[in-house]
Amino acid sequence: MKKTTREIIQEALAGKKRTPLYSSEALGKLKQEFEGWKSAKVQPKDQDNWNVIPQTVLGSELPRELLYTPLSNPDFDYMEDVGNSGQEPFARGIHPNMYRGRTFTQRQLVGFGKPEDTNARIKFLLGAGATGVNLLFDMPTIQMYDSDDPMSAGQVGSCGVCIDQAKDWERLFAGIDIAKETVSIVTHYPSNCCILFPMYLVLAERTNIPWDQLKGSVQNDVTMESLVRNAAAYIPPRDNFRIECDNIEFIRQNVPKWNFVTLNGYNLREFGTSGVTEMAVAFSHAMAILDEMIRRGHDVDWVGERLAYFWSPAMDFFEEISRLRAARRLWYRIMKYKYNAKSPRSMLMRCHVQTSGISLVREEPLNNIIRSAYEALAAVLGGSQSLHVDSYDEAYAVPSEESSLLSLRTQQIIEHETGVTSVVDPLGGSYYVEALTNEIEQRILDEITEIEKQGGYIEAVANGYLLNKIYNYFYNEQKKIENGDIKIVAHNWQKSTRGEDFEAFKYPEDAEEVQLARLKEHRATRDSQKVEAALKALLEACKSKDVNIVPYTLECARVGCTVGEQWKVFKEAFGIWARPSLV
Amino acid sequence: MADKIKVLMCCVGPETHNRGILTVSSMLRDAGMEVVYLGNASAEETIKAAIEEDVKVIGVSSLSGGHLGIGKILMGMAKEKGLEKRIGFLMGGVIPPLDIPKLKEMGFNDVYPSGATRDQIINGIKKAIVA
Repeated sequence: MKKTTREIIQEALAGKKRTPLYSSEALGKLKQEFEGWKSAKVQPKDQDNWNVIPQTVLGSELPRELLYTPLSNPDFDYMEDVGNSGQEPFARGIHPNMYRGRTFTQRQLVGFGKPEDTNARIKFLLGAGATGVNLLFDMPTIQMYDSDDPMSAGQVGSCGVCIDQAKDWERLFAGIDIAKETVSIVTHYPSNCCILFPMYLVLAERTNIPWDQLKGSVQNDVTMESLVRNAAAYIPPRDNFRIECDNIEFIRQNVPKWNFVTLNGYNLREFGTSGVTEMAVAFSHAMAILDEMIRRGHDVDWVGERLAYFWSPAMDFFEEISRLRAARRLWYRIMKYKYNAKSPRSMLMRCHVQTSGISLVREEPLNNIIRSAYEALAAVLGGSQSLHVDSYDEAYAVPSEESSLLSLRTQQIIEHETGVTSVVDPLGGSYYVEALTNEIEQRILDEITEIEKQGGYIEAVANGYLLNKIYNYFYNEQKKIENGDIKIVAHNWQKSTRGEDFEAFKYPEDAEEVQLARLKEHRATRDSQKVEAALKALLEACKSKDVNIVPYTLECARVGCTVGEQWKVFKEAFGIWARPSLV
Repeated sequence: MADKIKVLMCCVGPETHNRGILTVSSMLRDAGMEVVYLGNASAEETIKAAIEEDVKVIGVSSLSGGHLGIGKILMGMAKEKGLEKRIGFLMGGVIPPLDIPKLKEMGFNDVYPSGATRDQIINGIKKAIVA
């Protein structure tokens, strides 16, 4: 019987000598005092309800004590349980000096309209002090439809930037030095990553920038493509996973400073689930990747050093801080004890976070500034490496210039005015935070074990287990919001209609027309023989086992195949998967 | 006892977000309606399915800003087929307040931005049929 991840870790830790911080004499005395205080000073109603569960959007139902003391974590061993920052088990942070050495990257999402519209906003934010680029594509591009596909009609350039072919990238990055900037390209899925990222590499080629100078990340996530998203057609999860691993392998080999996956995380949670499930799924996914890469003959550290995560900090302030700490410690334990990683870097849970969008509401939109600020602060106190703060007009449209600037300022105020970045892991040692960190780690392991019982991450996606779990969660949450168990100010508590006359950002109206004209010209002027040959070769590669398809999509990018043309090849090669239905 | 109200639920085009459509579909089912869940489809496919399934209402979920674009195309096709008199058209999702009158002008019976309640939606559907 194969051991669970939990069993492996438990066995490894059982053998370690522990040196508890608190003496038994001190604990004994404390316990006496505590019991006395509780019965004499604490009100009976609080004694009876010592533990309460905060009701929040996307909450994890973790009970909290009225007061935390050393008795909440009596066996605490500083070196074994938290260590110093940049030291095993990394609960306190991935680097010794954290933000004194390198502050969190301030990268706000940008994407709307034509490539040049997005280009202008990127430059605006970089000019205002943003330290990273973060790109989002429009719905047709994300879902791999060309702008002239019937499915794209009416939606070109909304919600993100339109990209049909390699030349659009030149327009997108005109005047921006991609050898200097760190660029997060939110290619949600393995399939569209495989198509879009090579176009970015072609841009580098055409502007004489060697690939080893490129810094940034792609999303490239099966969770996004096969579990979270809505789509007219899906390819089977196993083929989806193959593409994900092909992307990882190719990028690792050819673009050494690039983060080849940012594990979900965020979108899964925003779909509607707890921070615990979010992490259990991401870690199970990471383990599936490592297992596959080992099968392909690669070293675990070779992959591990560039694995990265993408989380959604929501409103439960202390839970958000504690779970980042728990995740760092748990990932370290998985890499060290299950995968026998040798490189310290591959044991680090590095992450980008985006404050929760679903926690923001339509009523009294300026309230959302406060919500995002608290979420951002929690992420910084928890030690994340990179941050996007959602803008207050989230419930209306993509951010206006003003609201995206405000999000950036939120980050800058935290960094320069609050003083929190002067001290590493400032909440370490808090009786509450250490106890909550422990609890969350155990809950994540509970859910990892559930996924293992399903046969692992890919199986849990393919058989509908995870989809059903999330659906039940968010439908339940909807009811809790309706009946007021979860209170959202101005939305269902102190209900307000302010915001009804809000003027949201207007998308540039010419995006669809202009992009259609460009695409038409492109189709007319490119070498159609080369295009056909490249697509044919891609089809053959997809159908072959043990062939990495990225060199083929790279060739497609070079000769001018469109996004939509390549997605059609994937559908033809892999067939359509009928996702388990919910309604 | 009246027949179950038949509602077609869809996202016109490549909408990735499905939390809205899934939640509302469940609400309608809980309220005793029959839901034809189409999911992502082009405007043409949506109209075709609505006719084939003989639905009373079409509910469109739009969470990525394309509501005016897809609204125009959908209602255009509906009018070509003379459907706007026979079927109720409702839109829900992330919709700026100033766009709501525009959608109604196009022919949508009602629009449900985020925050719309279960009761509002269900009553809206019933109204759209009687109208």
